Amino acid sequence: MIKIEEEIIISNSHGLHARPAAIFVQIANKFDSRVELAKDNEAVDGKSIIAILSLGVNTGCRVRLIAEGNDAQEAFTELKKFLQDSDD
Amino acid sequence: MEKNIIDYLDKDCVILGLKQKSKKNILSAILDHLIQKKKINKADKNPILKVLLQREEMGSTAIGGYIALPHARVDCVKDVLVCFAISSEGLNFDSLDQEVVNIIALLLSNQKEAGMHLKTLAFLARMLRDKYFVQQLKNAKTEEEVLNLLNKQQQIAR
Repeated sequence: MIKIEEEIIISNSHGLHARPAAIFVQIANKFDSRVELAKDNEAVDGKSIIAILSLGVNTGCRVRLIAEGNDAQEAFTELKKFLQDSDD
Repeated sequence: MEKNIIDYLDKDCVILGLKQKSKKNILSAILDHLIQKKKINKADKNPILKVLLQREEMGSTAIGGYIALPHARVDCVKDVLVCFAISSEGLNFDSLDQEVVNIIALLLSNQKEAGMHLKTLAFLARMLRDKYFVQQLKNAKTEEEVLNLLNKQQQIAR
């Protein structure tokens, strides 16, 4: 079992509003690993759109991305890329 | 957040028992209700509907868990307007999890309110991520009951 955890600064210009949150969850659900996103010490299920939305992640926000499971490395790499690259 | 959801909401912004069969007709009925209650102008209905439907085309705001959060930023709304439409039977809103939708929380914000828009959306999500609360809302029988539930939940979600 692999666990990867890292702080990431959101560069998407609108933050994680509804559509990017849905895409994030879509990516997370491709993997078996548990995914969590945390902001201000509140961690939520990275496979639930409503949970991600409830964090209110703006552009420039610092979040903690956590992936744990056998495919955690792949999940983490893809989700981190989405959080840093996407401009939806 | 500086304001409570309830500050944007009175019982005129709660709709019970919608029966429409399509997303467009459901949104249209909600806007008709808001016109009738003088929350928006009649002339603004079609422009708002257009923006809401354009947003839905990019990806359904029925995000699973029996909830939909249709939202738009439009010039014709003064700061923020929130409206809750509740259907105990469930509506077809093209949900991402293929389930029906029982709670539609519509959010309209002024174009200038980008920050407040995302904050309000996040706050609605904080309230509605609680499955027990969603179940209670779904079973509410009156507008007053819905307002009381929302009022209680927003104290917890803050």
